[in-house]
Amino acid sequence: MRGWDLVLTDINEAGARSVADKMPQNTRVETARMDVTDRGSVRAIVQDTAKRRGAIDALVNCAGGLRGLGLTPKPLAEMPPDEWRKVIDVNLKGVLNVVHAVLPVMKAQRRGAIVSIAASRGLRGGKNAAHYSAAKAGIIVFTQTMVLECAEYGVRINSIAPGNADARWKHSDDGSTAAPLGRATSAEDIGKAVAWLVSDEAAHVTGACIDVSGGTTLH
Amino acid sequence: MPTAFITGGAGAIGSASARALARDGWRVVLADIDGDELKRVAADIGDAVAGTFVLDATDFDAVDSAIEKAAATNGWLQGLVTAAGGLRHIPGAKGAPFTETSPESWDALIEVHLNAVYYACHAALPVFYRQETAAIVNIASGAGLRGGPPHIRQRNASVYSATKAGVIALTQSLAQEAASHGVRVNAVAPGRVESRTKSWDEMERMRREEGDVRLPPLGRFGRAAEVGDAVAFLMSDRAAYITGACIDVSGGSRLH
Repeated sequence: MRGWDLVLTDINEAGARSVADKMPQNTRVETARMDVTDRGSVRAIVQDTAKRRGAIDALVNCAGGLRGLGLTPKPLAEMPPDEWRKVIDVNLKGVLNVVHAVLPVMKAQRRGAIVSIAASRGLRGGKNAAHYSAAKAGIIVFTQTMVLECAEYGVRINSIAPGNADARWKHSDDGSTAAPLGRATSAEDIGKAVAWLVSDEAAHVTGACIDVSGGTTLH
Repeated sequence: MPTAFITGGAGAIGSASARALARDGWRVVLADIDGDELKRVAADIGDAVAGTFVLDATDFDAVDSAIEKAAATNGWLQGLVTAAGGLRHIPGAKGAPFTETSPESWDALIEVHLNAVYYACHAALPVFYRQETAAIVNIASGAGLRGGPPHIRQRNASVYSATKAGVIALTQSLAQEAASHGVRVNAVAPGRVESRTKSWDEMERMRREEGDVRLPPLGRFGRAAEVGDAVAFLMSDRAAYITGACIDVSGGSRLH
């Protein structure tokens, strides 16, 4: 089976480029610099992509983070409002911006699958990251709500809740994991769940949130 | 080649799970209460069937010895799918308000939908612990994620909903207990889906005739094969880091 064509967007285009360079030879992949908090730029890139490629069959929302934004976990009482604005802007509003831009394309083509990366903390909360937990919980319920707006156009929308996972600034195997399966989440673990949710094997799955935390959420 | 034991293996979801697993390279051992249907399903699936057992999933000893036997004959067992269920053998289990149901029907529902899962997991886990890698998928229901779905045919499903919620919580608990043995335990929650007593076409016909049936947001009922695909995904290495999860395969019904 032939794989997907990819458009990798990131605020760091050189990073996206180096990922693109590691893709298998026969993968059609392009990159673009995109800041998910910049609605104008998101809209322009989405419209340009749809026009050039004829369709957008799937959207995967991975942009987000906390420490990757240069912030450190801390109790809410010690948190300057600028920090929670930033976390909510990137993690939650970023998803809204991109879904808002892509959904008209998917509605018009009457097909599509959206997967957003939430977090185990969005299912159950967690210490010293109230803003992050709230933003990720927001993604999960936003996804559930969008089911009804998407379904009649044949568009499915789901989310994934990773545990303590690999990030571009760290490897998850730092020994700090409390996951029952005994290791931290790898980026590949998340990628496999994303690939399944956008595939036809998940044709009747919409509004779901798959917990890929190795059981951490239940701990 | 890994081998999976499937209860309710001749039913719509059990047989669809078996087909999806066979497609993914598994061998399947099918157990079911209906010997004739079991024979038909096994013949249809063909070479991937590594054994069949005619048994009642609520018979603790029968399930225990079948799983031991399946493990002994096949070398090891790497998977368990608990798909036994259904309401057709339970008089008064469906359609009546809670106050009009009897403790006997509650017992029967709990026995088939919850205890049968417990029996199969109890038999399989010691086998799985000895080999240190395996996966279990329990078939729960959208009714267990949100009690008494709003559709008229599913109202009065109080005890059924409670048993399926029990399956989800049992799954979460076993996931934590079994994780250190390399065993993953997950659930799938189908919505309204074809069954061995009611085909998809029959469901569609009833919907047209009754008119008041609310479809899932995706605009159609579920196919057993779609539940089977979710089972096969959770059993596969693609889900190597997924445990204690419950995948909602209801076309969005839960969110209506």
